[in-house]
Amino acid sequence: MTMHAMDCAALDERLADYLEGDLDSAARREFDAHVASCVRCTALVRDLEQIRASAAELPELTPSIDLWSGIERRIETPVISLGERSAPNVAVRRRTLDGLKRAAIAAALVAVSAGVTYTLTVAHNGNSGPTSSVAANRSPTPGSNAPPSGTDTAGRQTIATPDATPPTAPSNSGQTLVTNPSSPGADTYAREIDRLRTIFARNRAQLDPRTAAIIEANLKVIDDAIAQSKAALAQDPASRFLNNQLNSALGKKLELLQTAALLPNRT
Amino acid sequence: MMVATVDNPTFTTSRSDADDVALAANGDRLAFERVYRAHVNRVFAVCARMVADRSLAEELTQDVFVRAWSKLSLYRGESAFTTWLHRLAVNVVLNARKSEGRNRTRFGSEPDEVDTLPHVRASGWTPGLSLDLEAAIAGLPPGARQVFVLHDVEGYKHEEIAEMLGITAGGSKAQLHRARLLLREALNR
Repeated sequence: MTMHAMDCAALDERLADYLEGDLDSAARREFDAHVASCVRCTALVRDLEQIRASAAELPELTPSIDLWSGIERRIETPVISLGERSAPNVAVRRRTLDGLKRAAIAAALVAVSAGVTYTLTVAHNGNSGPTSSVAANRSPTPGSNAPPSGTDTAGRQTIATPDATPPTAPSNSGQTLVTNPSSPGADTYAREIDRLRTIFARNRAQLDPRTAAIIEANLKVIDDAIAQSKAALAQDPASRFLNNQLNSALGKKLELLQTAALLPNRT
Repeated sequence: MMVATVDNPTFTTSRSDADDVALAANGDRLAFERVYRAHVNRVFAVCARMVADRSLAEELTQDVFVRAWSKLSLYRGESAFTTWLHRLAVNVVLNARKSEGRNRTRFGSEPDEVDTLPHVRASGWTPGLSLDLEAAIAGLPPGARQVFVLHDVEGYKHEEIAEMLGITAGGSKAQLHRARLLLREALNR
């Protein structure tokens, strides 16, 4: 195929550098000499250069819908609620549904967390029962999506107590982004996190100091992320990315605190 | 050999565009709408090619312009507005990808270890048919696709891509070469 020093395998190895212009003059001459005498490598180099050239010439693309109405609505409205979206376009409608889905997920997560909190609180207080534990043994709030007594939103059995106060599930009316700092969902997160934090603080002495230190360091990282997300959301309350970030951080914090609260019982 | 004849997007900013940018930075929404209309196709193109999902790209394009509105006051004119907006778009896409990393289906569930792409034509590749290349790019593994789009389509340097993606310049070169080889295979199949 070739009488030159460079063979096809060697060319393959240097092909990326050749295309990037990173070969020195001697190596480039060697490369060119092989390409000139090798049909396979001639086609390879030609095709890759063609792909590069065609990529640089690709045209602009046009969205399937006019996105301006959604953008205009977001930049005019600091906080987006469902009631204000009388005629959302496709993209905005999708965002609304995402918000509802996140609210439902948050409600389910908090309901499960509430059961854990209750269990831990009862375990600590004996049979006296918690004074402020969270359970689902009361009628759902009118207009809310709270599940029937004794089941969480995922249909699982939850721990119930007659004098318990149910968590406030995010409602379908008003602001639905659970991570909106002023929304009911955010309040529910905050209450549950506070309860778990109290349990963790109470049980901290039973933990290995290194384990406790790692948990606290991780909590600080998550708290920083929450603070940054909230600050950014204040500038752009409808950002799906920022809401996802905050939801994710709150979920992680809840999950970590649940794990931390259960640690003494596991060891 | 035929090559697509569409004009290469320019990085310059026209006089009226610059005026509209200045007005929009001072809160003029009509001017900002003109800015949007002048740039939406280019912003949408980079979003669509990077995520290979037109529906998601439309959402991200909205995010880009909402972010641009809130950050216009920070634009000092050191670079062309199109360059500034374009970089903002890339950052929005990359940040969204990070935030939805667990939801792999929206940003592409295919593993980065893919060695071959689905064929895009029954016969050999005819250079210049950009639709074939678009389809082949969409089939690339996410990492290779992002580097290819940023380098070969959008014209970023490897050092810039490395900074944006949190990889090394060498890693960017390797991904680019892999992307080109995968595209060649898909287009020639």
